[in-house]
Amino acid sequence: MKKILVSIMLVGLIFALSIVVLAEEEKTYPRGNTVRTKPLLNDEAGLVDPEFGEAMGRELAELSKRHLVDIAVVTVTSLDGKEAMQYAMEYFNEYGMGFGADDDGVLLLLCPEERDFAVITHNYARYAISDSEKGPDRLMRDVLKALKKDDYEKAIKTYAVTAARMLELARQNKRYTEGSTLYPEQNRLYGTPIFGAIFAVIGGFIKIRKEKDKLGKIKPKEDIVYYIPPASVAVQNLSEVLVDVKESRRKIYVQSSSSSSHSSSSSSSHSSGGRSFGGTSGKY
Amino acid sequence: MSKILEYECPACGGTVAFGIKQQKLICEHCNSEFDPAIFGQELEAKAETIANKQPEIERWTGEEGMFVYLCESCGGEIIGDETMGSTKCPYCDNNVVIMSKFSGDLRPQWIIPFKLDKDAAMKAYKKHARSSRYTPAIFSNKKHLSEVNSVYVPYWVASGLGYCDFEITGKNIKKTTAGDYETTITNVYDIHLDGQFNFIEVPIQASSRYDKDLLEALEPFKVNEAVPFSSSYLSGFKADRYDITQKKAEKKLYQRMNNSVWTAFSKQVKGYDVVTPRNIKSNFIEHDISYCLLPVWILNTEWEGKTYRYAMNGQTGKIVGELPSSKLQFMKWSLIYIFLYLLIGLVVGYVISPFFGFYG
Repeated sequence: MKKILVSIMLVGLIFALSIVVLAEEEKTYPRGNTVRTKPLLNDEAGLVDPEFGEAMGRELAELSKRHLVDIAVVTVTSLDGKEAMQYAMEYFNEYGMGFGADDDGVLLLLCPEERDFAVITHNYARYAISDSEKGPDRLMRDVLKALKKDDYEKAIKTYAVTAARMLELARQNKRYTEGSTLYPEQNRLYGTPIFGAIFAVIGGFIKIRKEKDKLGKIKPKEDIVYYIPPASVAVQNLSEVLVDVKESRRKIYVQSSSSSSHSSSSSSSHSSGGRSFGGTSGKY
Repeated sequence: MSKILEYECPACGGTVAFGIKQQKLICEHCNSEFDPAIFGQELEAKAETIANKQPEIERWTGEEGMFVYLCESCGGEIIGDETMGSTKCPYCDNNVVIMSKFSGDLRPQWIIPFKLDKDAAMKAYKKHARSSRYTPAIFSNKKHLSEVNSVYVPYWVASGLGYCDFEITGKNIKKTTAGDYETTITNVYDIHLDGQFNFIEVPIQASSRYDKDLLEALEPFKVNEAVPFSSSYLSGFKADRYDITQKKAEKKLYQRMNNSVWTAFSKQVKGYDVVTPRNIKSNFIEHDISYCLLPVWILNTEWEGKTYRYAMNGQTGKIVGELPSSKLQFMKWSLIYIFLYLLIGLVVGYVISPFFGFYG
């Protein structure tokens, strides 16, 4: 009887201890070969049409396959009290996001309830969309314009295209750097004739004016300044009397901080589940 | 009675004229050289004696302001207005100076002889005509010129001491920011300033025959190269006596002086953000004005029914005068310039546009 009681107590103790251990230990995720259990476009908040969602999902799959990086979007109705960044990282880890052995991926999280967003990058995507080069800010630049207008379809489309472009540039050893353009060839196509036209108009105008001046139009000489030696100019009397003081005030326009689109935290690294992520978050 | 001086070489009787390169009187036949001052003195003294015995050689034509003179060499009639002082006989090309225009109160005190000859004037004109691409090419052709004359233009030259008085408004503006407001405080001052200044050798045109703006644009002349007047410097050149009196010249001088004093004195008012003169007064304290002859080349040409006049400073070589603009040349060269700048812009744009966010 005594032996049975001791055995039960031991089993109970072991059971209790294992629960405690399991409860306190953070989940860690092995690198690579995780199976994604959510679609690349997971519209839990119902922000887009089902038809768009389906087509976009296929497009994201195509882009992900082409660039070997998961380009994913998730919309949620609530962040469950968490920071958007934290929620996104946990989502990425929880549902096996990431392509290939190194789980290369970029994830956009949208929560319309508080108008929160977060974009996180992992591994190769973190290299291509580098925090140090303000890559996440550039990725979100045009996306935020659409989000502000509540045009979620356009925002998701823009996000997919821009992320793909940044990944493509990185593969070509032309990784995005702060201030550079994502489309140098198109910029050249548009910029060359624009510069040409500006030079032609301004340069041509200046040159034509100079040539016209050479026609030698005579201006009447109405002064004798040339004949007055500066050294001969002598002040004999000078008096200065303050006669009036005028005061005026005007309100200065101060740009409100709430008009800025988001606060960026892209300079620091974020970690969750033993992994490091890059990215940025804010409000739209 | 007018005395006419004809410059004949004492050695061979040939025509004598002032040689610009040599700066002496040169006989065109035997190349003898003579000092202009001495030659002129002797000739004037001789002419004085002869003229007293000669019949009247100046008579009025009947037309207002026009006179006829008789050339002593060929007897030909030389017609000119009342200001004509030196010319050539149209028949025998003899150089003639009408002494009555340059004697007594009309005698200039000094003269700046020509330093640049006709070749220099033509070269300067050609260069000027080519300076603008909009001018038709024919303009730079010397044969296009209808008239090239070397003229001694009469001037009044003034130097002296002037006085000026200003009433000025000065403002100091200070801006401060506190919170959402910007405050601007403007201190307004009443400033009174008076002073003196010298003006040195200001030329004022003394002949109404020539375009005032054209000749004023030739300034300045180097008065330190002037010599005491002698009529022999006029030999070979046209010259006029003044028809703008000293009083009128002083009025003009006064106007130009009034336009100048603020420019000369404005820097004396310091320490203000804005300075605006409300009242400007100026006048002479003392001045000295002399009558002189200054060298000018006058070149005329015509194009499309319009006369174009050019003047070159016969001492410094400065040439002025408006050039015409041909519509064809204007269009042609304007398009060329625009095209060239377009090419440059395209090259620059090709290189630098990838760094600009035209396309994101």
